[in-house]
Amino acid sequence: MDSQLLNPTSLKSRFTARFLRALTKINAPNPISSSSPTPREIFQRYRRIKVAADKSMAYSVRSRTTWSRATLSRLRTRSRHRRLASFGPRSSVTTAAVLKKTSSHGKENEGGLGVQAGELRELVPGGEAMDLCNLLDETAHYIKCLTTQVQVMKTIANLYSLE
Amino acid sequence: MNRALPEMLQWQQQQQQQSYFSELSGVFRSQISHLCFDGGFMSSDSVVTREVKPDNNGLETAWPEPGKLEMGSLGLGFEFEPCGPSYNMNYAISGTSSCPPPAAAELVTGKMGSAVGTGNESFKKRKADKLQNSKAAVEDDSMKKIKAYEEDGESKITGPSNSNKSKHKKENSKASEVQKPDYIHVRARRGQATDSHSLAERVRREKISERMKYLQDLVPGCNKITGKAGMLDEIINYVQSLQRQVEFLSMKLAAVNPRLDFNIDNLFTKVEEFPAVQVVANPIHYLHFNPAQEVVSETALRRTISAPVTIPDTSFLDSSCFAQIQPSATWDDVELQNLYNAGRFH
Repeated sequence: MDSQLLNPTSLKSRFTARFLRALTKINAPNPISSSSPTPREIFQRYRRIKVAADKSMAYSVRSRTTWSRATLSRLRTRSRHRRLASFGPRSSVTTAAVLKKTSSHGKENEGGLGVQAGELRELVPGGEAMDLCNLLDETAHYIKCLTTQVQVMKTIANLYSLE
Repeated sequence: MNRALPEMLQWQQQQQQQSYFSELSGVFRSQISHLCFDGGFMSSDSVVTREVKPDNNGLETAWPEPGKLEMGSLGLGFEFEPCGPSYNMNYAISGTSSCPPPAAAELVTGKMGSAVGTGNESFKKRKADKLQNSKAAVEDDSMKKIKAYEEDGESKITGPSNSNKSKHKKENSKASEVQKPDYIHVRARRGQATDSHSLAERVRREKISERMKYLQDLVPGCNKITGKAGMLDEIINYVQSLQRQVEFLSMKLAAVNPRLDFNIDNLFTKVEEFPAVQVVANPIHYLHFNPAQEVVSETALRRTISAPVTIPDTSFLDSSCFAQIQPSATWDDVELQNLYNAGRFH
C-alpha cells in the first residue's frame, strides 16, 4: 500500500493539489522565515488555511453533494460579508427564512431520532433542509471527505515539521 | 388436481406461524431475487399467458382456499398452466410446500430451477423489497398497483377466503409484468398493514436502515453498537472529532509553516506516497486524540483562538499543551511517526 501511486483523479489527489496550491499562495507573502510570527499573524493564517482546506475540499467534490454546495455558498457569502458589511444582516435573514420554509415539511418521519438528527443537521453543512434519508447519505459522503482531508493535512504537517 | 387438495388443507391447518413464512419467503427472496418468474413464464410459449384466464380461474375456484394459499404461500407468482408438464410441475411444487421450511425451500428451489429451464426466460432483475403487492392490491384498491390480470384472477378468491387472508397473507405473489409500470412495488409482509402509507413508510425505513449500515462501516468502532440512536450518537461524535481535527491541523500548519521552500511537485508526490493515516479505531480514544496530538506554539494564541474555535468541555488548551516550536516539533514527530507506523502495520 505504501508504494502505490494514487489515482490521479481521485478525491485525495484533487484535494491535495488544490490545497497545496492554496497553501503556497497563503505562505508566499511571508518572506521572513526566521522570525517567529506574532500570534495574530498565526491566527490569521490559521483562518485562511482552514478556509482554504474547506474550500478545496468542496471544490474537489464539485457540487455533487448538498454539503459541498452549502459550504461553497457559505464561504462565498462570508467573503462577501467581509467586503460589504452593510449587506450582511439582510442576506442572512433571507437565507434563514428560506431554510425554515424548506426544512419544515421534509422532516416528518424521523421516528424517535429527532434530537440526534437535529444535531447531525447542525454538523453537516447544508443539512437543515434535508430529510433523514438524504441526510444520512450526505453524512456518509461528508465523513469520507473529512477523513481524506485529515489524512492529507496530517501528512503535510508532518512533512513540514520534519524539515 | 385433487390429490394435492388434502395436502394443502392439512398444511393450511398446520402452519400458523409467521416465522415459517418469513423464513420461507426469505429463502425464496434470496433465491429468486435475480429471477423473474413472471416475466419468464409469460414469455415462454408453453407457459400460461393472459389468455388462459378462464382456466386459471376454473382451477382456482375448484379449490379456492388452497389455490389462493398457493398463490400466496409460494410467493412466486406461479401461474397455473394448462399444459401438461409444467402444470404438474407447479402442482408438484405446491405439494412440496407442505414440507417443513428448509426442505420445502430446497425442493422448491430445485423445482424452480427446473421450471426455469423449461420455460423461456427473460428474467428481469428486481430489488428484493420491491415486488408487486397483489394481495394487498386486492384488499385495498386505493393502492392502485393492481394489474388487471391479478384482479380478475384473485377477485373470485377473495370472497370465500377473506377470513383466511389475514392468516395466510405472506410474501405476495409477484405479478407478471410484461409492460413495466412506473410504480414502486413493495412487498407486504405477513400480518402487516398494506395501505399505501404504511408501505411507503416501510420503504423509507428500509432505506434508512440500509444507510445506517453503510455508515456503520464508515465509522470505526461501531460494530458493537446496535440501535439507531446509539449509532447516530457515534456518528455525531465522529463527525465532530473529524472537524476538530481539521481545525487543529490547520492551526498546526499555520504555526509550523513559515519555512516553505518546497518544490511543489516534490511535496505533492511525497504526500501521495505517504501511507494513509489511520484514524484511531477506538471510539473513546479519538475523543481524546486531538488534545494529545495537536500542538499550539504560543501561550498567547490560546486567547486569540479560544473565541472562534469551538472547544469541547474537556478543554485541551491548557498550558500543558503549549510548547515552543522547536522542541515541540520533535515530540510531535515522534508521535506522528508512531501513528504512521501504526497505520502502516495495521
